[in-house]
Amino acid sequence: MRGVLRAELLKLRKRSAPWVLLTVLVLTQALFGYGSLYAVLQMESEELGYRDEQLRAHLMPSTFVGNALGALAGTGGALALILGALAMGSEFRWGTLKTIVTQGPSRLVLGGGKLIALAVALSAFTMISFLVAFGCSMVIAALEGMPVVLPSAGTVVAGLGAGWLLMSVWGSLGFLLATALRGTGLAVGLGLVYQLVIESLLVTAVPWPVRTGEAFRAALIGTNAGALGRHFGVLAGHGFLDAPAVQAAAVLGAYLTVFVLLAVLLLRRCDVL
Amino acid sequence: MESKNQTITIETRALTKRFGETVAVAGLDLEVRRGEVYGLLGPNGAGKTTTLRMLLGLVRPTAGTATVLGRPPGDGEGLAQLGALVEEPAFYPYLSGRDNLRVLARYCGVSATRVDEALCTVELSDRGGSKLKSYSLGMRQRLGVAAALLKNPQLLILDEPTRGLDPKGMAEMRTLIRAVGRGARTVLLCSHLLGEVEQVCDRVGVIDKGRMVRQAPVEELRAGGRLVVEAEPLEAAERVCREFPGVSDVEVVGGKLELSLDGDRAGDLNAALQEAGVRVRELRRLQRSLESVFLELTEEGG
Repeated sequence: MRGVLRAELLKLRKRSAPWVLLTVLVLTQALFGYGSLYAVLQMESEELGYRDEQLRAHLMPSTFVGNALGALAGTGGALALILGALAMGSEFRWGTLKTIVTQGPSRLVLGGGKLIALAVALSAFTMISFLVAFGCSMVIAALEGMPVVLPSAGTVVAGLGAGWLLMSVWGSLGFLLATALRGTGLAVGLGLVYQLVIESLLVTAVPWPVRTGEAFRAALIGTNAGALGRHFGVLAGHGFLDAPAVQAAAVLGAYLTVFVLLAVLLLRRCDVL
Repeated sequence: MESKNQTITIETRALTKRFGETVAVAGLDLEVRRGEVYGLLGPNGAGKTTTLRMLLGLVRPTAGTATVLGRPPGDGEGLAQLGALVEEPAFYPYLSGRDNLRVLARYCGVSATRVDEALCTVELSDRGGSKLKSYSLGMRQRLGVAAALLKNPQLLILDEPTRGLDPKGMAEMRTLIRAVGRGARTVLLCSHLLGEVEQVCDRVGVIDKGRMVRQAPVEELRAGGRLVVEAEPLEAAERVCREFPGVSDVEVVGGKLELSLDGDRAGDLNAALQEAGVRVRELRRLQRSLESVFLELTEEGG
């Protein structure tokens, strides 16, 4: 397993796609999570003559964990799905799966090694996202001349765990789709359609009876990601789920387990053509 | 004395693979012995590559059994002792040749020092640092052989290793295959290029429509049972030959006799001719081209 993990990490490190995805995450988070909101804060001050204190508090270091989780639940999840799909789908696209399978690792070890390498990469994405949020909030606090109040270490650690869980659920879904569809393109397309369109439609567009609607919201990835994020200060979106953090984490953990098991099972059984 | 299990490297019994309604391999019996260079010959679509994929555990057989180095196909212990190049070599385009081999070395748990040794064997040391996308097809093929040699394997499975190469590249690849096939290493070479097989292989299996049509040493296949006899007097020699048990199809061609003889009985025929007072000047097996043998075998079936 160690050799497979080292091989997978070498491939991820030398490949440009993970770095491009990470750059997109950092830029979108810095620009849309902080830069644009700070610009709005400045414009409002100049045009209306007063400061939106709620918005300013949202950009301070005390809330950086929630801000980072907000970015990971949205853009981060989509990027994690793409990375998961690339990690497996490219092996089919380049025909390299036969090359590595004939080197000797069992399919179980190969799948496990790939998924652990993906989890390592996603934990790096999560940590960098937190660093970006922390850095941006510190800069804004300095510009605004506000005192720096940091969240507790426990909140930061729990937030990192929650962020990694959100990213890993979407990453493993991408991995599973790429294994099932034996490629990258369709896996990314279908995964993003599910993540960005179908889940949203299920929550907001279908006029479910109240209880059925609640049950649906309690079972979807996006709503549970939102519910988990809200415990760290992420603002509630449309069709939100009001669930305890442990329950939301348990649902996401169940999704992660099912996606990982299905992906490894498919990889074990598939013919490599 | 070695037991059968020790001398047989690959053995299949009634190996079958169906893709839906299509039967790619139909009850194949194959036997590759230790230390030989074995050629698996067949026309396009005969089931050669599917057979190799089953032997490597890439594809599950629909029926039948196979053992590779005494293990089931795809078994980790067996794979640890074999190297393979199946169809066109597949590598990571964003990595250099050396980094591709480093990745593969990590998968199979061999030392990184083997990477440079393997690159040296296929004469790619000076281009090892270049990105794979800058490699010619011939270089990729050689890198594929280097990847197959990483584990210093007992068994090497090569599927069409000269595919897409120019004549110089093909000659170099054949030399390389002969070199790596020396000693105790077994090589299973899959090809539809008869000249290649004729020059490189000790024994050949011809498959057609997923079935083994014939499996024999190259010389035996080319001999095909026909004998040429030059003797005096010719009439007496012809009479002895026609009366000799197992002889058929006796013809006089250019003052010599050509005949078919069952089994390995040329020595007995020679003795019978001598006993009848016939002076034998020449008695040899008629060498046919592998191409004619191949066409005969594959056309008989269909």
